[in-house]
Amino acid sequence: MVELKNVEKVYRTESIETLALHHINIDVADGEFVSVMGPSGCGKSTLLNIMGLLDTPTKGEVEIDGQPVKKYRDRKLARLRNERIGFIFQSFHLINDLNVVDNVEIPLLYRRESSSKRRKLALSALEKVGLSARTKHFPSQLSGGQCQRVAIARAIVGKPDLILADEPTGNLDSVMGGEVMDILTNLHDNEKTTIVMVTHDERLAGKTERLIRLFDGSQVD
Amino acid sequence: MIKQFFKLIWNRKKHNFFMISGIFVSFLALSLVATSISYSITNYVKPLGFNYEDVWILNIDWKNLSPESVGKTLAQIENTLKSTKEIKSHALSANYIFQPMVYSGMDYYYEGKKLSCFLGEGGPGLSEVLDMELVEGKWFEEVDAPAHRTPLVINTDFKNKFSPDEKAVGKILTDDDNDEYEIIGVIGEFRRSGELAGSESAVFRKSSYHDEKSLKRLTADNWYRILFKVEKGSPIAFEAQLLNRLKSIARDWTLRIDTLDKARKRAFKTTLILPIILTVVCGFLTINVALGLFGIVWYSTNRRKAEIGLRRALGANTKTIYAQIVGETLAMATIGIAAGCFLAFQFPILDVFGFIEDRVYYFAYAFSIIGIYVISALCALYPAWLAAKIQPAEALRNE
Repeated sequence: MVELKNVEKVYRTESIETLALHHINIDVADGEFVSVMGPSGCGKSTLLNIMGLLDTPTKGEVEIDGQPVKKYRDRKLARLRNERIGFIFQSFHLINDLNVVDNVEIPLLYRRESSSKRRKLALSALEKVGLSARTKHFPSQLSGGQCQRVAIARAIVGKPDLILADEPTGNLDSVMGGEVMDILTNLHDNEKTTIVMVTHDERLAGKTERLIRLFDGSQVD
Repeated sequence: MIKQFFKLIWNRKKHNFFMISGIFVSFLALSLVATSISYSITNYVKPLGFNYEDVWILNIDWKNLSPESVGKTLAQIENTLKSTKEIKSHALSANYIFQPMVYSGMDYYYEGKKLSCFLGEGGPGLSEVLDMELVEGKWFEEVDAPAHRTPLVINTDFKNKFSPDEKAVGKILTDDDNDEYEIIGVIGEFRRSGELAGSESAVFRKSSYHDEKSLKRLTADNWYRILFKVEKGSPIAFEAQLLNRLKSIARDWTLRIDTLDKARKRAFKTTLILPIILTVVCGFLTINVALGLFGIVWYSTNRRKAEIGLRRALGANTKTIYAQIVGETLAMATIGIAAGCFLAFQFPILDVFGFIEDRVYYFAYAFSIIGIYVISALCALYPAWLAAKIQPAEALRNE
């Protein structure tokens, strides 16, 4: 599904050069549920951003379905992100001025879908995460767990093959975190969605099929 | 997408209020200037209703001399003008042609209806000097048929106020003192203040030194004019020669020769002052609004970095982000313009300024709408370009 070959990422400022990722080789197969663990600042989010085509590696290659994406232009990368990848962030990243269903519809705005179809798909995604009763609420009216479920609905509304979750339970208590994890596990089990999840929680990582450990930008497994 | 623009704008109404208000005010200011300019252009292409070429003005100051003395000297001057071969025609005229700051108003009544107008005076021959088009009846003659009513010549604009479909000649008007006036002629357009001035209702009284009543009225003011049409290309030397001859007749008067063309140019400059002032004021206002608009869009885009990063992550490309920022600004402009139009269209609907035709407003509003959209789009371009350059990973990480 997605493969990283000898990926290196260096952040440069005028005075400092930071090696965020070094010699990373990861191959995530179709339908896999992979977790990524490591201490803060070890490059987990950078890894996820590169996998999700939100960032480019300084060296190395990223391949989606065996195709290197290095030469893809902005429009094609955007289309790949829109159609193949769903993102879940620790801080939800919901647009506070839009209600729940409008937030969920956002990825579909960048496709040629009719308004009624967009609404239908968004409502169906919200049903999957158990938020059918909250479609007209605004993010400020929801709990953290509910916000994250909206973010999951937004990630799955476009039926992506790959979901990248960056500490999806990081801002939630254990009960809400457990609920979010259940939703992700169901998605993986029932819809065979490929999931890569960054987490600090060993217990959650234990529920996934494979664990990748990072330390100071390098793979240690 | 467009629906979401408006949803976002509505949900951020507090934040967007200043921007929409700025657009609203700027639309009204631009409409005001555009209406003024459009009004001037519309007037400019319309006929004046008279011909000013080769018409000279003899400005006379008869210095409080008695009416009898003025009458005698005027007769001598008239004889001189008649006997000068370079002069084709001449006529007495009060001081109002190409004098936009001069106004002499009068109210007449027709069947109880009050009719306000500009009141001018002209001697027999003025229609010939100025080559005015007579639509009905005749201009004043040296010896009009005796009548107990004072004869008047009116213009079409005035006629349309009380008799648009019927002939006006023969109709009787009254004034505040119930004195009666009879219309003996109708001329076409008469825009005495120049090319940039609008149409005006005008009524003319006969100016003559032959009858006592008219001579009294004539000498009520010190200043008067005689307009005369000269042969095309009359040399400047002729002006000096004629002035000397006239000065030798009217030794106690102050005489000065000018041309209507020069007066027209001065009037043009005078009537241009208002549109120029309005344009400058509106220009500053529009620049301020544009800078404000730019600042608000730029600030708002900076505040929305995370949202833009998110949209990029969810599938927006640089072009879509560009379209989003410019589109939202244009959507806000649409709301400001709609509110402005609601107010602006009351002017033609309620006919607030009766002298401005509806098409002048429509042209001005169309221009203003396009202008505001162009300004809004230009103000949004740079912030949109900055937004399109936002790296999604960076924007999401900073959040």
